[in-house]
Amino acid sequence: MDYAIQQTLNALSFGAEYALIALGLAIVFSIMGLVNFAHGEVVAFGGYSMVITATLLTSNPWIIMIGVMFACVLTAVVLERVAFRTVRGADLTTGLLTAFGVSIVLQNLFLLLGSPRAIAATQFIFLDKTITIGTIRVSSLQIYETLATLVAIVVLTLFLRKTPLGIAMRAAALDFEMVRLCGFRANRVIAGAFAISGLLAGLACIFIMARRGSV
Amino acid sequence: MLEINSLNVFHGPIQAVHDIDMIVSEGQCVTLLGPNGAGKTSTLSAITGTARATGSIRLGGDQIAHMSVDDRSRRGLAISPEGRRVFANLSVRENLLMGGALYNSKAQLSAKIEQWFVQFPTLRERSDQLAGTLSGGEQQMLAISRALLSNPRILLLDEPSLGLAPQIVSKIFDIIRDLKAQGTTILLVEQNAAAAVSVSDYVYVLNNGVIYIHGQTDQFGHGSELMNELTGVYV
Repeated sequence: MDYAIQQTLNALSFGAEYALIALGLAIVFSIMGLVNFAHGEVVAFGGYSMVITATLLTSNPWIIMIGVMFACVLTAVVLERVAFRTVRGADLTTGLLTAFGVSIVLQNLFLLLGSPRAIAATQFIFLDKTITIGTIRVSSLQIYETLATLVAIVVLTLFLRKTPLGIAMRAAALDFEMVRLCGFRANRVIAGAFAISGLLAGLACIFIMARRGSV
Repeated sequence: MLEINSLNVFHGPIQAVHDIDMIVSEGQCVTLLGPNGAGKTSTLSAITGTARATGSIRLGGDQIAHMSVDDRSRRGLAISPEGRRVFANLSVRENLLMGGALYNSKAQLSAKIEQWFVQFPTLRERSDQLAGTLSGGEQQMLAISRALLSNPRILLLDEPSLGLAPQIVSKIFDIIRDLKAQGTTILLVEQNAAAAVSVSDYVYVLNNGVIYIHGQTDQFGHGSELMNELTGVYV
């Protein structure tokens, strides 16, 4: 019984991490039909931005967290602007290959400018403490992760249901051209989707870094 | 209001419309008639910017032919497209909110939507229902309402009678008549010649991508003989 509860908790927290990443991929895919293979690199960029912020600016983990989220949003939006917007009218294969290309370019940039070896970044490790409840041992990180994912899902749902841009995104998933015919700016809807995917990637990045302590 | 000069429209390598000129004046209802494949929808797509086209399109004197789809809509074009294209998985109210891209205040938009609900009480009753569950006629009303919520300078209606029962068709045309009476400028595309001619001021007949004939509505003898002779497909 204890074993089952332990494993359920483990599965929930890992699932939450994957859910954050999958949500980010899904929001872009549903609107553009684009599988963003560079999404993992956005998460990695968050990790490197953490190292940079921690070395150059501050050691306050809360400020670094905000920095990571901001860096991921910025990366996602810049990728959209530089790479994906230019091939938006093209067919799906072109978008797919662009995503692969972006992914390869970013990976090599990390190797060139960063390091082929993992760089230690331990500022978020404090999130990971072991809590013992009876016979079950839970990491506090698992609890934070599950809660943060739940909050992210609720906030995202409210955004998609209540705000004009959110409703336009849901509409765009059904008929993008009609959304433009209604006078919504295509660029804003798509950049918004990328910004959200970046924000979710940033959140996932914080938990991944807290678990691994290196990038 | 809308002035089109030497417009050519293309679908891939095929040219659907050849060198047409059209004018829709403010407050007028102008109909573009023609059989299937004549190039009516292509012409509308060129106006809204969703088809590749060359030529001049002026809206209120401003050249819009080079603009993107969203910019043209924001300039005051609104369309109720062929097949209605309501957002099936969004509620009726959310569909109407989509017509409000240009509003700055939410309260203003909600007030405007309430106003529409007075005109179309069925939409109010179904405001929380998914748009895909509405009947064809209700979807058409929704598509027209969505277009009009943006207070457009000109309303483009693409075959609003398509696939609807005769009673519903006459209801839709009553709505068009009301809109015209309220001063809305309308460009109507139709195959239902008799009904379309009855609501419009001026008629263009398109066949094989060229304007075959055009003139004031009264020259068309209420959509009967001349029409039959021209295209051979009308009753």
